[in-house]
Amino acid sequence: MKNIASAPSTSRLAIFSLVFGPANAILYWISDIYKFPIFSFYPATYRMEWGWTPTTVDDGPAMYWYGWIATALIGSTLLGLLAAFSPVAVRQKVPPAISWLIPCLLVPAMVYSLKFYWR
Amino acid sequence: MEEFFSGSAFWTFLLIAHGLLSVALLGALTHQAMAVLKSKKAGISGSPNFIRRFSAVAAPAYVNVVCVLWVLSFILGGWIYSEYRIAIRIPMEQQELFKTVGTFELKEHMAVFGLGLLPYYSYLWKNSVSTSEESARRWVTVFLAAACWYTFLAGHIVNNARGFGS
Repeated sequence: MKNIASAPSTSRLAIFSLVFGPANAILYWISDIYKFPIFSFYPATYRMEWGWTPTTVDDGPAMYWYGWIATALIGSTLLGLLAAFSPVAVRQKVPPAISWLIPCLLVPAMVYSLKFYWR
Repeated sequence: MEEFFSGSAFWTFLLIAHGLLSVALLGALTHQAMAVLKSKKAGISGSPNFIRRFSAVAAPAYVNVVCVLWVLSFILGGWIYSEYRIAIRIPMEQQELFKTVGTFELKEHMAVFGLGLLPYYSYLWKNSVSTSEESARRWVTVFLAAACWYTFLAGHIVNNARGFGS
């Protein structure tokens, strides 16, 4: 563990990884709430459909979790790259605290999104 | 691989492998989180007790293994999830075990949040950091440990409610 720097790093790797985590959490939450999985998967028949598709009689229940993860990972990679290649003045304004604060704040939102089950 | 096992034995094998990886991950992250929380109180004198000994680990040494274990455990968990959706969740919903199902749904979300934090977690532990980054390192590590504990316990609860083969 080294502690010698006086200001947060603005290197591209630091900013990419800093933005990637919270962006992943936000995009995952959005894709869950607003039904934006890149694909839906039917585990009973191993069938895959692009976008959000409902459970069907022939294919059984649809799974969206894989699609939400894909949405979040692709989107957060793009946002991370955008932040990493932004001007240094912009990169300096990204606070390291968002890395853990945003996922922490989204946990109650995820709990609320599951209110159907808390009965 | 599925051809060499019966369906149930195959999924049980995957579940046990997933569980063992999770135990290792839980141990590593708990040691590391305790180390960063105790390091804030460095300088407190006193005789070494269990907590001090538990926290007195070389925290940076855990970084690579935590990342690898989280990813491997995530992949196995994701694989098992397709079987869970059919063989476990539907019967649990029919039995109206809604809180158990909800607890497991939240586990999926926590695992994804943790996965997204791994690149920054790795960066923070492997590079020189400022004071604000040091704080971020502490709380990212604590968040990962808390998420790991939650996912572990939620998986255990679901397995108790309706494990494979039950």
